[in-house]
Amino acid sequence: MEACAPLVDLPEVGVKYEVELPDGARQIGVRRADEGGWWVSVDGGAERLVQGTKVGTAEWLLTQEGVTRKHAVYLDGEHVYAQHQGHAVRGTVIDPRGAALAAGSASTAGEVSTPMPGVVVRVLVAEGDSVTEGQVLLVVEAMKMENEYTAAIDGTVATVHVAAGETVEANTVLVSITPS
Amino acid sequence: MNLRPFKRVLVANRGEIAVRVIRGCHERGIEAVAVYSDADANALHVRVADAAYRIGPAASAESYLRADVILDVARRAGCDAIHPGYGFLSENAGFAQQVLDAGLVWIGPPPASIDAMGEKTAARRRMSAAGVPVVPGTTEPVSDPAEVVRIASEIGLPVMLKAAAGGGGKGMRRVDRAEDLANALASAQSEARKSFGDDSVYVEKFVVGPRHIEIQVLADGHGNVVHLFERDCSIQRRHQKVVEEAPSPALPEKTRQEMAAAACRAAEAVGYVGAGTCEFLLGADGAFHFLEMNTRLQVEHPITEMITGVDLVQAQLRVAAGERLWFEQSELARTGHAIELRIYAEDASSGFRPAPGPLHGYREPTGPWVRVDSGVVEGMEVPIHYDPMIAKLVVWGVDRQQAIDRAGRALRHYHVVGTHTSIPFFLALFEDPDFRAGEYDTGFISPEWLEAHLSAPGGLEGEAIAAAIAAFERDSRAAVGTDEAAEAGSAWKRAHRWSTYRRWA
Repeated sequence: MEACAPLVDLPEVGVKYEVELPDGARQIGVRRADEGGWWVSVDGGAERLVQGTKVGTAEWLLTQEGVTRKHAVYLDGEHVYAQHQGHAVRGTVIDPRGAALAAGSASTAGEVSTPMPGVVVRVLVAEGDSVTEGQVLLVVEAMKMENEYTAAIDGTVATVHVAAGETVEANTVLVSITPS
Repeated sequence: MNLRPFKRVLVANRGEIAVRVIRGCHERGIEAVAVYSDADANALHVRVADAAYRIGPAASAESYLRADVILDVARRAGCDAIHPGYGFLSENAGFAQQVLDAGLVWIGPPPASIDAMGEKTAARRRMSAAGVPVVPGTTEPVSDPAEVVRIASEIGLPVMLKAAAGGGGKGMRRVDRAEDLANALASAQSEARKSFGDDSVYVEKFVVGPRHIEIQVLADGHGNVVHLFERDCSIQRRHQKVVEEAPSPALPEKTRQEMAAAACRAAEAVGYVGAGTCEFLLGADGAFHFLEMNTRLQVEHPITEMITGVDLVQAQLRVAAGERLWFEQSELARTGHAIELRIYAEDASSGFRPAPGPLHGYREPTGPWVRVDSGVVEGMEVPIHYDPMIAKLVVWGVDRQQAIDRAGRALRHYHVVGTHTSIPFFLALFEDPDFRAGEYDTGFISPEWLEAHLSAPGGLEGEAIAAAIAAFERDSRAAVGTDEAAEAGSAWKRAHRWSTYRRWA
């Protein structure tokens, strides 16, 4: 799951998590709020603004409708540990798209693509190169800024789809990496 | 009289009691040396000691029970005394003798006293001879099932079968019907063999509606013995104490005096030196009977400290150094009420099944007259190799009601994430009107009580939202490949920084 990492499309679009706790299953939609915090919906209900932060290893302070409450929660992969009124709580938090993907083809796992149109300035790797997580693969200029695209996983470059000087559309796959 | 103050003590234990003893040593300007197994390499007791030595792999038998290794550490570390804590080697007369033979001070009673009280049937005989009432039963161990049946019909069912070399609730079986005796004997023997290396069992009458009440005694090496009142330890599960309070809510003053006098007689009868505890059963009929004497410091000693103002670990150190008791019985008084709750890594809703695990979140409660004796810190894993007690929550109040309210508040402020604990059980216990009224005996925590009082956690929407937000933040960070600093700022900036952005079809 970690090799396929980011499952967040645009933070503004949001993710719907399936949260399973001892008192039942809930679908919790989360998307980032421009004013800070998140817009959260529970089981398809109306979104509400939730703001706050993690304050300790296993502690969050969240404010909704002007009321701030503490939640003793710790996330370890898909596993959730919490404490509520003294009770130890265990459960899971799953992004159903990630689960489907993990079950699906591995070939999409190492794709690097652009969120917006731009021009490829420099290509720093070639097919067959070994790359490591965090390694810069290419540089794309967009909005008058240079954007470095790095590998999120260790692997081998399978295909470089673009060349320096090429104009690219949004959502173009630039490089495909086979995870090692 | 020779005073022999020591400079460096080896604390032959682990967890909360090792930390407790180290604190006592440091308060008296004595250096403390810790020992640790591989499972405890980063433990709290190792961190607070002046120096620490590895004694073996995780299993107790290969570490904390290795008398030879521990003595070797004492020599190498230049220790002049050893404090054994409770459990492990603390009531091992052979080890105590080895410590003395090595020329070190043993912070505990003489080996002969340990022996006198260690074998329970011998202890019963001795107490009887000293005029201390004992629970009717055998004065010799029995192993013949036919003999057990005969004795049981003589003293009357129900009976308790108990390990003669035992303690801590292990190797005990209650038997109500004669046809169950043979079976119960076999399993008590087997448990005794495993826990104590000795399968001798004895038979005692089962006292109905009993309260477990113990008296703390303190004796110096000059023949002076005092008592520091009682502790009521009747709230138990699997014969192990989980709640203790001092004073007992159910002890008439006259009975208190009689029990305390009996405890002092018991200590004198075995030439006791140091801190020890005489355990009694108080029947519903108001009569009390000697159960056993623990020739060491007890887990629940803090509640006695809270009501008397006497630091028992410091007292042990002073007595062991040869000091004469510095107070008379008449100077000892008790004030207020103290309660101890043993915080175990256990799942009360699954029959108190031990549930060691990670302490992802851990923060002890504190505040006025709230004391937590623990050996754990946040981030640790509760080891599977030892007793699953994480900490002792101890509170004092001006009266029992305040102590109960204070303990309830402290429980609600006890932050533990990652591991089941006995906290929800205690919260339920504190709601029980019988407990609040002080009306309970050792049979209080029955399966029926648990069924009726323990609830499953509910109302977890807030936690579900926090968990989803936590997942969202983690997944966003992975997408961006940067830290929180990158999250701040405009959407354009964020888009710019998405160097490993992916879109899933």
